[in-house]
Amino acid sequence: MANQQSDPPPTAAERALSARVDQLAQRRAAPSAASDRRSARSRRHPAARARAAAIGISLASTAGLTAFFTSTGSSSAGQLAGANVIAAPATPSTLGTGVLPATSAPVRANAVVDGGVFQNRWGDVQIEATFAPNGALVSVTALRTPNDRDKSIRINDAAVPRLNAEAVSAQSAAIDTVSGATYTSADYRRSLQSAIDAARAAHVTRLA
Amino acid sequence: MNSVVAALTRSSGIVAGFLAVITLITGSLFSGRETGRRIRPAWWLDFHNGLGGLTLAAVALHVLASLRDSDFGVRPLDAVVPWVASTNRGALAWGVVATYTIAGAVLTTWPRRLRRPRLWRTIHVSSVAGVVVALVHGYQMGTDAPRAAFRLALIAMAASASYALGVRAFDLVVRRRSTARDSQPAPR
Repeated sequence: MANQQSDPPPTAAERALSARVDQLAQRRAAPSAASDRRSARSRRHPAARARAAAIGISLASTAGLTAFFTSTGSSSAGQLAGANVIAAPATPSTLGTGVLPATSAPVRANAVVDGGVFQNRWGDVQIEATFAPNGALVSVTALRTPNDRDKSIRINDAAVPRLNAEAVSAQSAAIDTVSGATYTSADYRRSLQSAIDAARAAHVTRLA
Repeated sequence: MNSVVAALTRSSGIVAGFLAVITLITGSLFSGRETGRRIRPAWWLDFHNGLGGLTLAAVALHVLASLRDSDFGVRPLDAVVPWVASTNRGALAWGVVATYTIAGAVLTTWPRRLRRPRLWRTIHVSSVAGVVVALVHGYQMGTDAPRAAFRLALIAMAASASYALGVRAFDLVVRRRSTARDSQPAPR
């Protein structure tokens, strides 16, 4: 005997499930071009979002730090960025026992030469170089360094003795920057170079 | 204008150093198979490669900005040839060496990986030394080097990188031991 009883009508949940299964089957049969591209890109670069986030964070960090460094640099001094000579360049002087060899007579005393004054965003830098009768650089003294802030004083108290020692050791202005005293170091070199140039022009030394 | 360039030199250097360390950590953890189960290895490798490229871009920005910074006086030759600078010779040289090793690691992987695996691996591993000398360069040269925050960040980066390298080294030892054990003849 045949079963005359018909199936019960599908419930709402079964209808929804059936529709979803049909939808997925259609999608599998004919995937769209957009989803193809998406999945190909996802396979090639599974971390695309994380990479984009890393780029964004790096750009934001660089821009933020740049803005921070620029603002902290300009607010404390508000002066010209970069070094430039604001006073007369180095002139040999006869301070102390300094005697300039104007003639060819043998010189028996040291010559003291002031370097030019260079200005950076933190303040002025000027050195004084002392040359032996044979033209050797025997000592360097900082006449001016940035000193309007405690931090500048602290930094330069540590940096200047190192720069002085290194200059005498190198017998030139080609000396290394002291970490943390980048601007003082750069202007120290410039001022020392101007003193050496002036001393050479006055035949005090042959250093270059 | 020059103050902006100087600030850009500092900030791009800091970001490049940070990115280099993160790249080193992701690479070491990936090759040490310590990536966890939630994230697929392919994702990890892709992220590591992306970070490497980003590091090189940040280094390029740092070099270009330092060349433009007239206060500092870095010459183009100083930026491409190590140990020729008249001042800061050592510190600048470490930066140049780091740039070459990082560029080597990135450009032998992208756009295509070098076909000779041994050479590729040698270049890639040398970038670990590149990251170390980059941190030395930052410490010796950096305007921010005396800052406590900079030093703390440097210590944290060095510790994290050491951990990741330790994981990699441990994995290497374990794998070699298991290979040696497998290759031994079975006892009779």
